[in-house]
Amino acid sequence: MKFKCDRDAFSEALQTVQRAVSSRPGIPALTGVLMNASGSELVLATTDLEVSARLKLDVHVQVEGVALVPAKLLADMVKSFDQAPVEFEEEGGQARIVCSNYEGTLRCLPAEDFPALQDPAGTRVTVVAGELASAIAQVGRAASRDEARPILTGVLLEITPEGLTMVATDSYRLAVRELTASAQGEAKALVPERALAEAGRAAAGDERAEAELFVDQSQVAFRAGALTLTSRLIDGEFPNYRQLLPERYENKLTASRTQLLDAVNRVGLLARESSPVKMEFNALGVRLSSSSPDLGGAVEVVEAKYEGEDLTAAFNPGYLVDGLKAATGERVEIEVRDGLKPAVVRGEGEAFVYLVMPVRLPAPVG
Amino acid sequence: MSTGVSADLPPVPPVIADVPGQDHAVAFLARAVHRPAHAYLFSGPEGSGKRLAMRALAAALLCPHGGCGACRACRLALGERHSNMLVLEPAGPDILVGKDASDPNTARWLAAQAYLTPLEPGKKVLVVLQADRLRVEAADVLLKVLEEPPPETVFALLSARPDDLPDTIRSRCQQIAFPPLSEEFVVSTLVKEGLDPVRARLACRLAGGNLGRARRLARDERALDFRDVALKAAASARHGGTAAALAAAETLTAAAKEFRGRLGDELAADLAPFLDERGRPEDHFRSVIRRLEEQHERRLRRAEREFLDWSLLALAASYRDLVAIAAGGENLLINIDRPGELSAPPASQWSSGAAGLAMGAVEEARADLADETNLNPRLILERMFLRLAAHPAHA
Repeated sequence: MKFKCDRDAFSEALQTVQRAVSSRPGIPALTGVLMNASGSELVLATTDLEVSARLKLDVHVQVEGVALVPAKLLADMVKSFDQAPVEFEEEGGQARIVCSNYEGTLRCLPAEDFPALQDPAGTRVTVVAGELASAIAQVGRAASRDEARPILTGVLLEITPEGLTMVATDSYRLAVRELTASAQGEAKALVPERALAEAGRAAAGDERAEAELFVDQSQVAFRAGALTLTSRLIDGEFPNYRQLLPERYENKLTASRTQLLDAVNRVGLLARESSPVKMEFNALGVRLSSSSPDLGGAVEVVEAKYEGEDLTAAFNPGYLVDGLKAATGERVEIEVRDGLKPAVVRGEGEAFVYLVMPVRLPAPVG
Repeated sequence: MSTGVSADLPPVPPVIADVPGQDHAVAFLARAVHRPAHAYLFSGPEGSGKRLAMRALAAALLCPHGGCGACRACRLALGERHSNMLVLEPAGPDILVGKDASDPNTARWLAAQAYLTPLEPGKKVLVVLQADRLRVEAADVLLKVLEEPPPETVFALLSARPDDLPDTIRSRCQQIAFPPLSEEFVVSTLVKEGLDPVRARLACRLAGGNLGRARRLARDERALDFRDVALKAAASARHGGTAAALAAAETLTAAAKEFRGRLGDELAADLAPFLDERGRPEDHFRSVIRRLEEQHERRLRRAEREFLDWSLLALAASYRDLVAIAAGGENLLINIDRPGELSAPPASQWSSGAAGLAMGAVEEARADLADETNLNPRLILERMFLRLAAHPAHA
């Protein structure tokens, strides 16, 4: 295998795919980047067994072929080069890299040890890359970090002809985001949150561009520009979240999002797991308070529009903050039923809904 | 479908047929490949071929041709390098629950893999080596997966002490028994490899049917050192009374330390391919090296106790031989190379009862050493040699 290419493009490509190289590989081949030169294209591939990255690059191919080369070493080597054409040649398990007056050799790894990555396939949906990135950021934080419940560590992707829906829950809160997208057919996939975050990062690069998603039985693929990320799926049935989404409640607070967010943050400083932030909703707005016997307490009133009957509910401030951050726009709506039913946080626009379970308040003493 | 058993059984996949010396297990696996269960427990003593059989099963399940033994999938599976195969090797004395899915060689790590779809199309094979080392909480994590096994996932648990596994785990696995390899098989295998038949038989008997150990014992000139050290120490303890008994314990501990040193040098050779010309670790292979070093650390930690265990086993075997001689069973000896000269006083002076008592003392010391209670090996040895010195040859 032999090709010639531009230093900058090659270096950038190697840095990009290196993100998917495992930091603790059990198999030596996983420390490598698989390079496949054919036609006028070079495809770089890396994997950490969960997430795999593939990147296409236009190069001048002189001899077609495949080589598995230590990823970090090659990336560092090319990064250190001056701007000049880079020549790469592999022969007999040895790679030779030439750039202006420099010549280096690298021992290759056995290419057959590298996992056979599957091409994107299945139901295809196209979305605006920037929207995809923001949706992933909105929903991802609601996914569970508790490995004891593997299903909840994933984000559900639901594709229908109308669009794409992303859902995550850790059973204390639930985030749902709908995206308009053009899709052919229907599909569902439960994607590890970490993999989705990688896709979000890749999509954030070129916000206006189109990103494609492919979902089949065993993997999800994201394609943005020349980069394709694939991830394995979590095998299992995600809870029926639609059943959890309540009808509209009668009681609704409409407040400035940043004002409420800052207040929850401030009052939340003195909240503890056993003593959450208490929210008393009334015609003037909402009164937030927290107190813990050993530390002290805090009170803050946020003036806002409130329709409905006076009531009190308490929340874990962290969960509420996540929801308020994820919602978009100037104003935010919080719908409440009572102190036991989940509260619903909505930003401006209907696309994002965030449910948060209240914390049961201890019965007042005396 | 009729319930009758079809007369023409499906052919045994080549990769399964290659599993040495375990005809029953081979027959079982050959059937299992066609309709695999969710979990198998490979149980049998060290060196009975469990791991080879596990690799063969993995190859047969991952190979597109059902276990040809020659394709890429087979090669990778046999080398435990296939990406649809994950091998949990205990990182310490126990297999722990683990922090999260990225904590290697823990129950969470393995369980998380079970819930992911396979990377390459096909099945996933998840392996737990020395499964009896699962901590109770780690076993619970695994149990949850075994109770509701994800599709296309086959578990293979390996254990030399299957009874130490929780019943709940054991009952969810199909058990495949690996009895110790037959002596004839081990000897003929070693002879085919070009080793001397007498030495091969001696090595086989000393290794208790463990092919790998028998091979090492038969190949390496110094491999039988432990036996000589142990027997000499026992003989001198018997002659010299208390002081000699304590000195014997000292000799044996020192020999174990020396063995550990030699092993350290050998393991260093394993690392060589990953080092540059000046012996420094290649940056790129750092994680691979770390893994190797961790493995070495574990082996070294075990090395002294292992050496002592072999020595005591050899000692026990020599007393067992005395019992055999006293009972007229000369053809049943373990130490077939020089049965008479091993003991002091000479074999003819031993009664079978006395030899039995001595053997008991040695076996008790072995059990103490094997206990994970961290008893001081030196004290165990001193006690044993003092008891041996005190026993008369005639009970």
